Amino acid sequence: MGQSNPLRSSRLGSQATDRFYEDLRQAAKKGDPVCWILGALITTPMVTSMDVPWVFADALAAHLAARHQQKRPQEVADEKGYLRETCSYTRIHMGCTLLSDADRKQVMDWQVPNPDLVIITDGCCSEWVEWGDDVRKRFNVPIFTLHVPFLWNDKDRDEATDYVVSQLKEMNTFLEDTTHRRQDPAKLAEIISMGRQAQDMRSHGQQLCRNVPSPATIFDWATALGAVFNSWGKPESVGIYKAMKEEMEQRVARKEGAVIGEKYRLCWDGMIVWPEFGPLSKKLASLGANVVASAYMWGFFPTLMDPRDPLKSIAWNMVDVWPNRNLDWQINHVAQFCEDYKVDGLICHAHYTCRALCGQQMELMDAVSRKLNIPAVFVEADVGDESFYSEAQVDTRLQALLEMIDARRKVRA
Amino acid sequence: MTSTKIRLDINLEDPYRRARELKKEGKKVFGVSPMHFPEELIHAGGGLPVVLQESTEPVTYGLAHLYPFFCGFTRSVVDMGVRNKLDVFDTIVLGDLCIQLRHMVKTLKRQMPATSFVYTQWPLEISERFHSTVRGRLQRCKKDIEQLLGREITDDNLAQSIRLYNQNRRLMRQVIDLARAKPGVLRARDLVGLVESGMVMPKEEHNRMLEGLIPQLKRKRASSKQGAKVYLAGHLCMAVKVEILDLIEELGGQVVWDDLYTGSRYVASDASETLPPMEALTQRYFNLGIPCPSRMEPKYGWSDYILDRVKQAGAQGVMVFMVKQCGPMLLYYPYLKDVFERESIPYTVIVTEHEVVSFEQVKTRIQAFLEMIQRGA
Repeated sequence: MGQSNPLRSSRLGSQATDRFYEDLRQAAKKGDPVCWILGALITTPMVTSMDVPWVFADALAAHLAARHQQKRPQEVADEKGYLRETCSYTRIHMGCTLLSDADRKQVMDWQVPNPDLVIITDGCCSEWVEWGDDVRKRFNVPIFTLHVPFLWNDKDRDEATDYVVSQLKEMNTFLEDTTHRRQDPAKLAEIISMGRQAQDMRSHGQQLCRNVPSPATIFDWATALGAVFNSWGKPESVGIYKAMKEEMEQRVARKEGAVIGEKYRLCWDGMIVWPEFGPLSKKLASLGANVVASAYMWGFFPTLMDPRDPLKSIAWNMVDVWPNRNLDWQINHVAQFCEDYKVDGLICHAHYTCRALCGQQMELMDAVSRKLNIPAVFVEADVGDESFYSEAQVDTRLQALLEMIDARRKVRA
Repeated sequence: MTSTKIRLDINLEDPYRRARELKKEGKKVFGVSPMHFPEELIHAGGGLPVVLQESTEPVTYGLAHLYPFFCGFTRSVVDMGVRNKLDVFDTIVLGDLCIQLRHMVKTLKRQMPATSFVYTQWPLEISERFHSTVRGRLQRCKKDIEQLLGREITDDNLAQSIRLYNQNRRLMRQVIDLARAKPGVLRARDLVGLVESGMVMPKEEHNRMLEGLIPQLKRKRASSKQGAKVYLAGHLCMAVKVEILDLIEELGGQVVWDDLYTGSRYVASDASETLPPMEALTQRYFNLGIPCPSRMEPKYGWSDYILDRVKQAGAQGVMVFMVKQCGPMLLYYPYLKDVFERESIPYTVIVTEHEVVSFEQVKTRIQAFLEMIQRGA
């Protein structure tokens, strides 16, 4: 019925990722101290501005899973005692670090330099601390924990932000003492400014998805995630989102969608099924289903960046990020998405090994479907372990969702 | 001295029975999330703190609220909540240390609109950096509890509660020490039952129970039968099923040490009785007695503790109990495994589930492990 029509420009994000990891390997060979970051993506500007190369472990795991390079690291992790219920990002990342030299030589992306220091947060998931502790114990390296208050009450936002700012100042001292490099405030401000420009482009592009048909799907945004994960604050990140925005504007003018024959508009909750990324995007498109919005793509990554106050920008983003918000806020936010983007139905990705980011979904589906009278389903899969993916189950759930949408349309007509 | 084993037959099928009785008498009952929340704070205000317990009932309605791949504790408590079986609680308190507990309480908050909720969050790195954070959080929590109880929690009242809870912990540790020193006088299931009963009844009553029991234990003679000496490790947030504990003993195991939550961990350390009470509770968070895999403790971690206690107690092997889907255990276990192998300590892992289809698999595993360590393999 439908056909996938992905953005050409989103592939620039993928290319940026390849360059990032190559630059990382070269920097490590030169002897630069390497920082591993678990969870605290938004702190990368502070590390970059000190010319310290870094690995964002979550993104590495997602990258390997999307490129189908996760199996051997998973096997090694299994042998080392990481049970299959363990967060897949952890299993893939730790499995990668525990690979033998012989294994590493086989795949370039497995050649990740060991850490000299580690930054972690407990912001959206307590397990980052335990993962970080595992890294600390195995590599015997200094570690810094950023403790981010969970926003049980929205009114605590400012206090929480100030608290995180105070820790970022401590983190700065930690970075300088550990790497023997100095923070460059001008460079940090410039990175934040670039981040702001990229985000403005990104936001504008995301708004264009309100059009019918939508010129992009969340899979386009996911393909371009390298721009956030690895190129944040660099001119190329601005370039990627600018290219996407321009391509999307042209599509809107031509009324060309990212799904030719868009018949259903869906909202996706949860992260991406990285190992099934391509097949799933094609499957949805073949059904005429365009996933036009997602809390993950819209709400997990940096938004407000103010180069006049870099630390506050970073802290604000850590506190305000979607998974750090209370359930009422999340429900209202997703319901608003569904209205703004004219969504017909909600799909929740129940990722088996990431309990942090899907724990709210049962309540979310119940609340949003009651509020907006739209159907919601969940598909059980995983962010990194393809063995938890059952195509038959996904097909059945999708079929049910689309049938419910059709039935409601008939009733409304 | 008599040699008959003391059988306590503690019935915990309905753990909140006593709380319901006291609620009828006008007591405000607070359901407290497990692991590290200082119950003294609630007690000092005149409330009854009760640690939330895993139910023995299968999860039914709860399946519509929390996915089946969440840990059994959170699913069970959510199930109880949506089936109106937690109505005994005027307030539920979360000391947030685990993302699954957080989702459990987020769900309960939506599903139990008549219940109040108090939230506080623990920094998970044990470091002096976070001393003022913990102190501030406890202060804020105290205010929230005062508001709900309608009265001030004075320093004097708090100091008194700390003394009471310390007394309870000391008495319980005495029972544990006696049980270890005199194998066979108390079943493992009864030891765990005693700890669990202390979590769900007023500490005043529990102290009286323990004070009555200790002389009996002192009079008993240890069994002459020596079993394979095992250390029971892990199992956070909830009790190991008593059937498994029975199996260990029936198959020839002798528990010489444990750090189970519903075991030694719950009573491992006291709050200072000389410091100002809020400072005492703050410091206790940083000195819980047994390092916890849910936290990063760089100076002396859980694996260090286990190694020291294995030597001290003469344990021949370690049985690691892991609640299925427990994040802290999943992430700590691989390192612990490496440590055991490096130190040549026999170990086994028992993954427990809320829904138990059959104990046969567990029995086989325990039997094989005990035979192995008895042979000195």
